[in-house]
Amino acid sequence: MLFDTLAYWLFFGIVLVLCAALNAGRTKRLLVVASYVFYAVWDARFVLLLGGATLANYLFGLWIDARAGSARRRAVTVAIAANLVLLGFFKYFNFFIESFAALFGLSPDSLTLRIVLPVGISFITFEGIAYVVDVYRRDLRAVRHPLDFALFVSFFPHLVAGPIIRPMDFLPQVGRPFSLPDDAARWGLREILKGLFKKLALANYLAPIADAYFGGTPYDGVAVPAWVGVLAFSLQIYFDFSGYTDIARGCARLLGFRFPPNFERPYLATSITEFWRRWHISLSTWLRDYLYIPLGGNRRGPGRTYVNLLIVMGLGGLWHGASWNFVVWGLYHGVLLGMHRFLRRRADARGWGRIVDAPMLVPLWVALTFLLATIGWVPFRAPDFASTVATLKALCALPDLGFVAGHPGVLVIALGSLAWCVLDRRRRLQDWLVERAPWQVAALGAGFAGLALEFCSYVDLQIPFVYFQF
Amino acid sequence: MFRRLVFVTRLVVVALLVVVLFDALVFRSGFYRRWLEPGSVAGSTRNALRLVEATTMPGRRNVLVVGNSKIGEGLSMSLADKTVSDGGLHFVNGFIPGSDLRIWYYLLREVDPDARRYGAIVLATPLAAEEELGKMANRVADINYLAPLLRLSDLPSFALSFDDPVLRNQAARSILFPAQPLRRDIAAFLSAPAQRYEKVRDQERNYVPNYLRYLGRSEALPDLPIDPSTRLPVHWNGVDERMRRGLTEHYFRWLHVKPPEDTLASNERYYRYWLGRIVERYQGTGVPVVLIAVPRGPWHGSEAPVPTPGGAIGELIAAGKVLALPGDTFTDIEQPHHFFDQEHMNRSGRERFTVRLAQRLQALLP
Repeated sequence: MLFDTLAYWLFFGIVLVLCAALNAGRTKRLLVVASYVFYAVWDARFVLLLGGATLANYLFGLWIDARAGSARRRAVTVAIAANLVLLGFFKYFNFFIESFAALFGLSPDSLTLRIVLPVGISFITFEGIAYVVDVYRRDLRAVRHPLDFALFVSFFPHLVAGPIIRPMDFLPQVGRPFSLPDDAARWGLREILKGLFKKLALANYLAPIADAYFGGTPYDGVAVPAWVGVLAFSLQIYFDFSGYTDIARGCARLLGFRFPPNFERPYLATSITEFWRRWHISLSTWLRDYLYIPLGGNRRGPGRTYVNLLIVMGLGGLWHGASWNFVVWGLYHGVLLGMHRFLRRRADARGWGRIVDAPMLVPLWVALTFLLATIGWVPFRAPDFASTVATLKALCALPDLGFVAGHPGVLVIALGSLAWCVLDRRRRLQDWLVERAPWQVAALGAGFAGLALEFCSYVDLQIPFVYFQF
Repeated sequence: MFRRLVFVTRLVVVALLVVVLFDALVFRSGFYRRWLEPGSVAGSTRNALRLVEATTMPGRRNVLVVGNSKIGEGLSMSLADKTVSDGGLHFVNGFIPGSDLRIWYYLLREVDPDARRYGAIVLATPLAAEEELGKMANRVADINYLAPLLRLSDLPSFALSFDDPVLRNQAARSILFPAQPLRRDIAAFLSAPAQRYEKVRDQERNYVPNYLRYLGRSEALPDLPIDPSTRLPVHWNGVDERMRRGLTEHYFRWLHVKPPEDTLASNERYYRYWLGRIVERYQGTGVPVVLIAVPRGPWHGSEAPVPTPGGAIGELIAAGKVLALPGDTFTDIEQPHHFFDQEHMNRSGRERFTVRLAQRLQALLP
């Protein structure tokens, strides 16, 4: 049940109406049942997996909470290991076996298993790990009511593609009576319409161009130049994933829950460090809190900091999928983060910080960061190393403008988005519609957004959200 | 308890009203239909409406011949009229290139709302489902062809006429949100409105006169001898590379192929449903519906059996609900020198086909 299908919105409408009709306790039960139904529609077999992971982490929480000292440490180690085993088996077993077989010249066929990747497994396990570690750190008491915990893990707006919800953000919201204030309704609808437009109109337009380039097939009968293909994917993945997140946050808000932001206009970041503070924020903060800081973060000297960055980003890359290409993407960002850290420290040490931060240089840093992030998408999207290298080589050649003359959409979307961000850089228009505009104006705005969707969306293409595969 | 949803419901309803109102004013009113790109698929439906409206003559016994590009190339209205000048028949060409029964149903509903405007309706359709190799029900292009003609009330019947659930959804969306199938057309219009204006004006002025002056293509395919064992030409003398590829890929390759069982069954249902709906429209009006098997291809006459009505079509004929010209009426035209490509008749084929069609219809129609 994809967010861009009529079936999902019928499902959501029914859930919303039932939530309004029921008391707090029943609403909770309803949301858990609805979430399991939502998950079962993907593949009913994995409902057991979801239930098993939920039960295990619930019990781990109670176990850890009841222990102290080294017993507590052992308990959390077991809990983390169990989550990693689950993730490792479903997501990485065949990958490591194939890599091992390739290393020793063995045939992987006899060693690999036919494993189907359960939807959202990466998100479910990361949320499980966050919970047991938070309980271990005494940031959170273990949840006593299993239904509360089941809702945290399974709540359908974030179940299959995030954002990665932190227990401390979500659990205090569980059990409140359902209410939908006017501003929440406006905000939720705005996010849903924004997300649908990003996905259906923008990402779905760009996806076939990127697919044609990386698949080596023509688009509309014409070969796609490398820079257009890479730019198309760079924009596609942003609009696709941030669109998904907008819809997820909007739906959650209408149901009475707040999700933290996952994107903050990342392509306007002035450095790669800032990029990671704005891109997939729920993952980058998870990696920071549950991996980078436990590894020592930046407290053990510059050398160890750079190593930590590489480890964290390499594993962050691998989290996206069982492929060395994702590791390369992660390490590339690790290197960029290290370089930025090194150069920034040097600049500050020499008193160049003010020059570097001068407002007139901001467009240059934004452009450079966007360029570096976009180049990084090449290994992320390319099917293998050979294609990655071929694409990077092709990017070095002079750009061919012929394709863009016939298909200006990619540039129009890129420049149009930039113009929109500049015009509404403080999101005043969006906030005014939500907070202060008369309701009739807000409704009219929603109507125009609906028309824009009707005119521009590529629903027929049935392109799944990119992050569903992770 | 639902008071908590009043505000959000109000927002959604007003927003939907904005969409519905805009769609009603621009698309459902027929306003945008005038400005469709003439060269597009939806534009070809508009062209058919133009031609039919301009050539239907009040007070005459109009015979509307509906078909695809084979009829567009094969039927000369003026020659047909001349052939039966003593019978009072007037022929109207209602062709849409690439169209089929489903499209024809909606075309007929548009040009003949009370089902009494024409003296006869002639459908240039294959006489048996086995002549179609693909699933007619799943022709996605029909959604675009019909964008200017569909109404909200068509939603269930049109959407459910597709076998594929994905296409059913797409078809339903195209009716609920009429701008959806016209996305490209609208984008092109907005990017160059002046150009579109000129094109449409030009089409309005010249399309019908140009078509009426059209005599057919003069080129002809060479009379290639066919090897009975391979069922391919013995040599390709006189055929250029492009034509050779076209004939091989789109003609000889399929000449003796029969559709798989599930396709055949699907097409049977398709014919039964859409032909049934057309017949139903004219039932009790006294307007006969006549089926004709247009010349199928340049070597069909010598290489393929005579078309015989079968399945749903056969049943309708046997029940007396439709009339049909015999399957062999035009098979002698199915020779290369009457065609300019693998599907379409040239000028000589057009003349021969038109004259015979007019004569046979004059004899058939009471």
